[in-house]
Amino acid sequence: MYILQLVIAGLQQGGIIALLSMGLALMFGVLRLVNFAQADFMMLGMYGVIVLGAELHTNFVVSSILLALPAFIVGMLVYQLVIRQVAKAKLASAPEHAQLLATLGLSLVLQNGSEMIWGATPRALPSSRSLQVWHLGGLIIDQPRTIGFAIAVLLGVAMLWTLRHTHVGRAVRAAASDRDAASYVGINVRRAYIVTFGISILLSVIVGGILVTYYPVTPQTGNDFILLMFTAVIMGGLGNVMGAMAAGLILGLVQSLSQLVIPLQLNTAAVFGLFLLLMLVRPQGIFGEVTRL
Amino acid sequence: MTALLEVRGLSVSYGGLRALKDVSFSVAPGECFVLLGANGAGKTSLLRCIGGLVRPVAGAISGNGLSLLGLRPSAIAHRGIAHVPEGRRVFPHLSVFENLSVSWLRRPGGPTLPDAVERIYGMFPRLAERRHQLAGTLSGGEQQALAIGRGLMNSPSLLMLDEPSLGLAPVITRQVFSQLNSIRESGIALLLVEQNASSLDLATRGLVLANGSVALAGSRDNLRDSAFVRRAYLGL
Repeated sequence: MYILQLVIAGLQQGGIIALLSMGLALMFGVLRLVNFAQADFMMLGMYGVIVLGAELHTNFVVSSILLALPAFIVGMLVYQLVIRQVAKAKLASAPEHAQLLATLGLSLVLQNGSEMIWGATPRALPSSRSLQVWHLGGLIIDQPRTIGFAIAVLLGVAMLWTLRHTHVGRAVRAAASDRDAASYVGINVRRAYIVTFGISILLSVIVGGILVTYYPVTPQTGNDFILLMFTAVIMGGLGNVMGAMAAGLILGLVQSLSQLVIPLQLNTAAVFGLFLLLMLVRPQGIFGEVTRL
Repeated sequence: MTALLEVRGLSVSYGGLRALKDVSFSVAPGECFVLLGANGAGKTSLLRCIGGLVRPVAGAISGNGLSLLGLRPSAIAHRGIAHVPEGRRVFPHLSVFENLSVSWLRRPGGPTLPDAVERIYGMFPRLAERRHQLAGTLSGGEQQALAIGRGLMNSPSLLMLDEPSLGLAPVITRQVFSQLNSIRESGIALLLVEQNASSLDLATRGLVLANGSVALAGSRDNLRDSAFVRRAYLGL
């Protein structure tokens, strides 16, 4: 029973990491862009849900839905006004390097900007829900985490389905696979990039909306997650969205189940120990060969 | 008759290195224009420039009398000029069907996606057999057929092909050329870039590029009879 309880907790945590990492993997797979600010957009989503809850008294699901469209638009604007301009400006030997530095800068701006607005004190969602649980047999199932997990899985599957079965999704995969060839067959590659960036930011913000129901937010909360996200993306096979999803779930499980054999305080060590082992055995990642979606 | 494609005085440089110098030619509807040239002669630069991936330093390019300069590659594809790039460049992790479907453009009065795909399957039955297979697992000849099929998805008026025979066995090359001939007979003009002089069999006209400029231009028979082509490309 105890193990089952840990599995449930692991999946709940893993679902969050999975969805976060999928956004990061999508961005890397399509734009070849390593986005250090990805988790900071999640942090913005957390504050967003708190602010909306205070102003409009909406619950976290409604708040997250309300934030989705603005997040998508902000993502597209950030790409258009920052990432793309930096690549054009020839600031570094390769446009990817300049873009990578730009995302680091963006991360600093978002963190310090949030600190200016909301201060450094941790804030939590004043919700009675955060203490509600279901009793199932002998299991105690935390409600907000479970709802959050369900949303994360649903969104993750929806994203994979979109990539596979819609015209836009296929165009994005084609642009990821071969930028020039994609433009030759009439795909507007720039539009595919903008949309990809927007969707990726949207995913981060939604994850923030889920996470804030049980995780207090500070302007630096993104830092708690960014390393795990990169780990999941690399474990899944760089740029492989499905791989990132699987790796995110595995990381959550490992973090949780490691308590069975090692002290709780070492669960992060278990995660990175596994990561190191995997890199020794399969450096291309679980699903990786070369980059693929 | 206005030319499908008109290139005038085109020059291309890469960081001070001149790749093309003052190249002019035009392609008429329904003809097969062949660009011959050795490695590094500027053939691919020329196609990339027409396709919108490289900006020229001088010159003009127009399609059906309208300038194509400054247009995005996708916009040029939408103007009915399809580009089958060097090395085929199919999307390896997309299936045959997906490769074709991403190349389809919704247009008022145009064919639906299933119709457009079926038309390509009709031309290349091998692709129909392998519609669910990942494009990266196809043979070289099949990939070339897919690359050509992708180019034909939006019924272009001009199909530009960059060395479709590259890396293919002679017997497969002959198949590809005979397919190209039927495409031309269906009324689609071809701009064929080749090192392989047997492509002249398809040609109505053509030119020879050497070191970025036009060394020779004329009808197929002119090219075939020229001492330069005979020596450099036909081994005679």
